[in-house]
Amino acid sequence: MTAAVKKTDTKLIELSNLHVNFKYRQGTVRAVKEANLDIFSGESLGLVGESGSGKSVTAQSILGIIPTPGEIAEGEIYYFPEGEDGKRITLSDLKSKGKEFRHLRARKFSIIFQEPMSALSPIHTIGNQIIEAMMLARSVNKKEARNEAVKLLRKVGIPKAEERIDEYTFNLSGGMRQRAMIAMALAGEPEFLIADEPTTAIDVTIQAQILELLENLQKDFGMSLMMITHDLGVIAAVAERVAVMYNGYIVEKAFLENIFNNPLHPYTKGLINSIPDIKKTDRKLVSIEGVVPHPYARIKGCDFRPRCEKSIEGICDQSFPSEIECEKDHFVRCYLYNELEDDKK
Amino acid sequence: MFFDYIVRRLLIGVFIIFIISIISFFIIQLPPGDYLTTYLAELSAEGQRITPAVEQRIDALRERYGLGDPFHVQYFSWITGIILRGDFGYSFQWNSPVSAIIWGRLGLTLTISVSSLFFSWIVAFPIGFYSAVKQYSIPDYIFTFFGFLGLSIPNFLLALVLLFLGYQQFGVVFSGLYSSEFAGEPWTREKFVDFLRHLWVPVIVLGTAGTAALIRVMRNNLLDELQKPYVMTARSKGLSEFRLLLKYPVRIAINPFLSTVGWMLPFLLSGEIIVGTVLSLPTIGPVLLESLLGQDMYLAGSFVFLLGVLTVVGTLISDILLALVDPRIRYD
Ligand SMILES: Nc1ncnc2c1ncn2[C@@H]1O[C@H](COP(=O)(O)OP(=O)(O)OP(=O)(O)O)[C@@H](O)[C@H]1O
Ligand SMILES: [Mg+2]
Repeated sequence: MTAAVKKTDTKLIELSNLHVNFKYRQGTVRAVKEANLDIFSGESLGLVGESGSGKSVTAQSILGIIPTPGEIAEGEIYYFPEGEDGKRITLSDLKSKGKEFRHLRARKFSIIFQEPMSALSPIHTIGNQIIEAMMLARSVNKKEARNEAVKLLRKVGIPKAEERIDEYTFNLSGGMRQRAMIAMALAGEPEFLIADEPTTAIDVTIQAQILELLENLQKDFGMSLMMITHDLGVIAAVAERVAVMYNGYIVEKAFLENIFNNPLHPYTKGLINSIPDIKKTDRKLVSIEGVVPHPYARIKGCDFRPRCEKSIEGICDQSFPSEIECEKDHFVRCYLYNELEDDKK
Repeated sequence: MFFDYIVRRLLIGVFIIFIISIISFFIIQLPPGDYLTTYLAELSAEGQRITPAVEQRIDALRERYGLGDPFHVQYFSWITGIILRGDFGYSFQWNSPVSAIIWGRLGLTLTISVSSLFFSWIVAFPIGFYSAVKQYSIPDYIFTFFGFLGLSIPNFLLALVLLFLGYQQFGVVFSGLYSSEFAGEPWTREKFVDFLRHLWVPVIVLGTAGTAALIRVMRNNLLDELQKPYVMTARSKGLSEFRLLLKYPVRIAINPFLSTVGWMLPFLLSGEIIVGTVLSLPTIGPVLLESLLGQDMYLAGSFVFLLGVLTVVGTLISDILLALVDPRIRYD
């Protein structure tokens, strides 16, 4: 299995005990809690979870673009630049608006957002915005940047790119807009691309095309891809490894096959069971009993306990379970499982 | 597309001006009687005998200006006079053609109003920007406090307070637009410098409330825009924060700011009428008031009409500016 080889690949990003809080007068929203996650060079990782589970905030914290008043309250984010053996940059220590972090965002990291209509400026042409990204990432002049931008637009499948480059977003279709957004994200030839629900706002018929495009581009550019979605169909199509988030916690991490064939966490099981047939579905995750807790709520014990059929009194209501490796490369945060013995790892 | 847009706006503007001309002519005809009856009444109130010579003159005037004619005939001769000959009619009070009275005064009124507009913009833009970017900071609270103060103090009161303070503290009279020795003199460099020295008082008095309103507009617009996803996109590209703010959210937040010309101009013009009267400026303020009181219909009507035209022109300018900065309007 090729996926298993990936694990030995070089680490690109590491989240270590990451906490992200939004502090308000009414209370603190703990958007990400105790998150540990590795992202390897060239892999595609799926981050899945219900609305409000903290997927976007996790992504924003890696890029240093958490909106105020959000901030990293605890923990670290590391970046291991490709081709610079052993070098480690602690992103969480950098000033998010400082020069060093901005250069990394311009040249190494990129993100594609859910709604290209609102994520692109309504009063600048797509060319203007792509050329800007290009010039921030590489030392090219405006003319070269424009030529490159036209090429890039062609590459992402925009016909008549040399004309479309001067269009405004409101003159493009949803699919074309998202392609333009993708072109912009690729302008700096990033090592790490985050796609935050890139197909949610797009016509169903175009969704598959966009996903395929992203997959191909990831291979072409040799990037790492973090695909954020609440659609298990997207995960099945794109991801090699999966992390499942629930209410700010990463509750399960494993290779794709293990997540689908042997889900461990009751929440993951619920997700999988809510899909009648994985192969032909792209259904939203709506059919688990109960609702996500209120953002300000503090739950004693496991956050999933109120919705969990298997919760054990006296155990699950004490504290949130810590992360255990239950089978090789398969991590879960749940009291129902025991740690794999050391020699089997 | 841009051309179509402007042509459409122009046509609408012309139509509105036409309506304004009818309405302003109608309004000044509303009170019973006309200037001549008011004049006769005044004469007899002063105990003067109305000689046949006076009566004859009055009849001649009535005849010449068709004061006895029906509304549409009077209106038609007035408006064709304006369009064809630039003749706005005759001021009975001043015994001179209206056009000889209005242009100089209208020019000064416009100068003061437009200066106030720029004053408001220049002051409100950086303050609104700062208040939004540093929302809930101490300076933001201070600006907000003074903003509300500025909004709630009436113009004329501010004018009176400035007049009083100027006189009491410095022995200076802040009224007029130039020192007495320049009154009636042609414009020279010295007169212009003297004019600028006087200009700031009415500009500040007039501009204060508008500035306060504009600060709120700028702050709120920018706060809205700062939440928008495209700001995060720009950050994700590694653009520096200041450049990013200016290129994206500010550019978009500035649109409603520009469109304020549309409502600021009429607001300033009517404010100027009151302030001009209080500060006794050689602008249209004092004259308009008198002409309305004395039913000097052509003078009053022309002022009302031209103020309306200026408002329409202001709106037109702001529409064009808007279309220049915002492609969404151009392509509409
Ligand atoms: N700007 C913000 N201010 C306050 N709270 C926020 C902000 N952004 C996110 N949060 C909170 O952080 C938590 C996680 O939000 P996040 O956007 O990461 O969820 P998500 O998993 O991406 O959901 P979705 O699928 O709806 O995009 C939520 O409780 C949300 O209310
Ligand atoms: Mg999200």
